[in-house]
Amino acid sequence: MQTVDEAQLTREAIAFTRYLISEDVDAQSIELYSKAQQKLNITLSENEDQRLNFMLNHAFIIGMIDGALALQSPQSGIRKKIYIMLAILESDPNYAKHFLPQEQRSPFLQLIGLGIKAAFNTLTGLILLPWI
Amino acid sequence: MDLAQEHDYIVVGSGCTGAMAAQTLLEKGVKVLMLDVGENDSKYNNLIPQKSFNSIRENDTEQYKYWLGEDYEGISLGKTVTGAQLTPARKYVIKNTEKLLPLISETFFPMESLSYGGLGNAWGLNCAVFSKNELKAAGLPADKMNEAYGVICNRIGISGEKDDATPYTSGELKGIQKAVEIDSNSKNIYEKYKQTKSSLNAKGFYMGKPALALLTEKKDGRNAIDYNEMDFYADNGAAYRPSITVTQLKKQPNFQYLSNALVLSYSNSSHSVIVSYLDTIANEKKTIRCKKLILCSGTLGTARIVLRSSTNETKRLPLLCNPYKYFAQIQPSRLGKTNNAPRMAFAQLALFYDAQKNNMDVGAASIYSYNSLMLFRTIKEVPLNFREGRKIMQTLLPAVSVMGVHHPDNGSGSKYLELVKDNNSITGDKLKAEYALNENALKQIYKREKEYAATMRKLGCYMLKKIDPGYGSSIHYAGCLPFNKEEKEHHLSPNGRVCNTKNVFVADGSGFTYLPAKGITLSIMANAHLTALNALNN
Ligand SMILES: Cc1cc2nc3c(=O)[nH]c(=O)nc-3n(C[C@H](O)[C@H](O)[C@H](O)COP(=O)(O)OP(=O)(O)OC[C@H]3O[C@@H](n4cnc5c(N)ncnc54)[C@H](O)[C@@H]3O)c2cc1C
Repeated sequence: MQTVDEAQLTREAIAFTRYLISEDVDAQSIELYSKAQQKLNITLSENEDQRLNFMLNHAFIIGMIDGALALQSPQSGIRKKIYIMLAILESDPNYAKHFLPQEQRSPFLQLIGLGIKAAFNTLTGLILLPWI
Repeated sequence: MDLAQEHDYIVVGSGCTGAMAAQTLLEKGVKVLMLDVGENDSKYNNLIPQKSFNSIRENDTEQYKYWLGEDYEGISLGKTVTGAQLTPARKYVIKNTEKLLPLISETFFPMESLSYGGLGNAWGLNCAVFSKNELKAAGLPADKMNEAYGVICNRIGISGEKDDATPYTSGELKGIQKAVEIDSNSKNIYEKYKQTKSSLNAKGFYMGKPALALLTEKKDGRNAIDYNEMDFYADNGAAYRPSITVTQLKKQPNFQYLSNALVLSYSNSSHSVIVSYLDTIANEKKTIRCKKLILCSGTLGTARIVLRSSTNETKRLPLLCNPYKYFAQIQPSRLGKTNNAPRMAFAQLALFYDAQKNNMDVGAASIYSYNSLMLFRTIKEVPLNFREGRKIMQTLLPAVSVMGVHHPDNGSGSKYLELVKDNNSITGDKLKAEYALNENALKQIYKREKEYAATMRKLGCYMLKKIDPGYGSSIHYAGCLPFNKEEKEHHLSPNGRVCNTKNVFVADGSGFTYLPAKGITLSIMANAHLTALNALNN
């Protein structure tokens, strides 16, 4: 039976939460994340595992690799892990404000800004991906 | 229960059609035994608070239990397929179907149910009466069906409005309750429709409020809609579910309900029908006798039972199913504004495309506001990194709607069901399904969808993505035992009797020879009522 590396899963939960919503993850979400990885049986190839560790050590790169994988390999294990964290955070009232609709004064500008950022991340990620 | 005794009427299945057939029989004073597998929700029902979706989101620390599910079954990691809208609290609807109703297909991905109340536990409540042309094409008697629609409407409770869509929704139905309130997103679309309707009507597009099996006023001890927007998770009694009827019937002395009974086949003896079933708890085959058997096991379920019971070598049956797509669309004029109450998850608007203006081969679309299925499900569809994807979807969400477009379906040789042997299956067989459309049908679908997208643009909505969950995803199935005036194997006589049997009837959608796009369920319930009457008079 595969042993579960709780410390590694906690590291992932902390890094992904910072990346996704720029907040510190609470204990409940760490526990849920850890259980979900086991229940949903998310396994990574050796290559993916190395890539994930690189992402955890260099957190600023997560968005880029995630963006590149979204295009190149949306079903990759790393994307699945981040997606699970996202679903867990959305189910936590502490983080509801990051998911519930908010009134916005200039949504078009906001969308343009986000689009540019996302495109930049994806492009950079696509360049970096073969090296990581 | 004395299994050796002969029962008067056996109804198989507790779904929409089983509930209606059984009620009609009981109202006529006969004894009914309902055989059903009857899976139930044992996990989530009591966990979900009776509060609004938004208040739960902000306050309930236990919400993850029912959004994500005990086994995280609420997080779907694959692509969007049939039943993507089933939340953990509704997953019991499909419990054990893989094991007890095995199906193989490369082209057809249906949803079946073995639950108490069947697929009706999750249906979207959209009701539609078929037009005269559609009834004729489906092989249904127009005069009797119109009366039967009235009976069903009175039993289940339907709300709606008299508007441009009425000929395609509630038609001439009487006694419908006032329509549900719609949210600001949908009001905006509807107002635009009213301003441009003359040109849209000229093209054959008609918009209005849908007719829903959803109470806006109290009825028969049931509550009116609470606008809590928890409709994908829990019921407060306003939505019609067949289990409401069956639970009422259980109180009557002439009604018996046997669960964990998977009906396998039937055989005819001189005056009675012998029904063979699998006791799913004891894993034992048993038999039971009745004077008349009425199959309401869902079209695919009925196909299995009839094929197993048939001595005929030809084991291939036709199949009808509405092709279906989702359009995720954005209304830029709503960006930045919140989508105000009243909120609900059912269809807000209906848009019909009657190109020939004869209420035949009509395209049917329902428009929903997306919210309570959570943001994470939509973010998965965006080809961006999850951080920016989340922020973009959060900004877009108040302006997003989802339009489900159904297309009508006609029979053809490239859509069929077969029963094949499988020694690994508990029933010793599995259903093989094949569904392919010819070039002409594909062209019509493409054209209709293009027209829908153009019409929505006129109404200020722009398509973000078209999602194709595959054939079978409409969850409207019919036509495997087509009505036929001649006594032909694997057909139903016009009164619903299985040809070459004396006392076996089918009261689900199996007999329909054409499948309008509008939503089949009101019509199969009306047909179930008529078939039950026919069985009594046979
Ligand atoms: C998410 C969703 C949304 C939908 N929305 C709409 C909508 O808006 N409008 C619309 O018109 N339709 C809609 N539908 C379709 C609608 O739910 C079905 O048309 C309808 O419920 C079918 O009823 P039925 O009685 O024919 O069969 P089912 O609901 O399939 O019921 C079959 C019953 O038979 C029992 N059974 C099956 N096989 C056996 C066996 N061998 N032995 C014993 N018992 C058996 C099952 O336990 C079940 O109780 C929707 C469905 C879903 C899932």
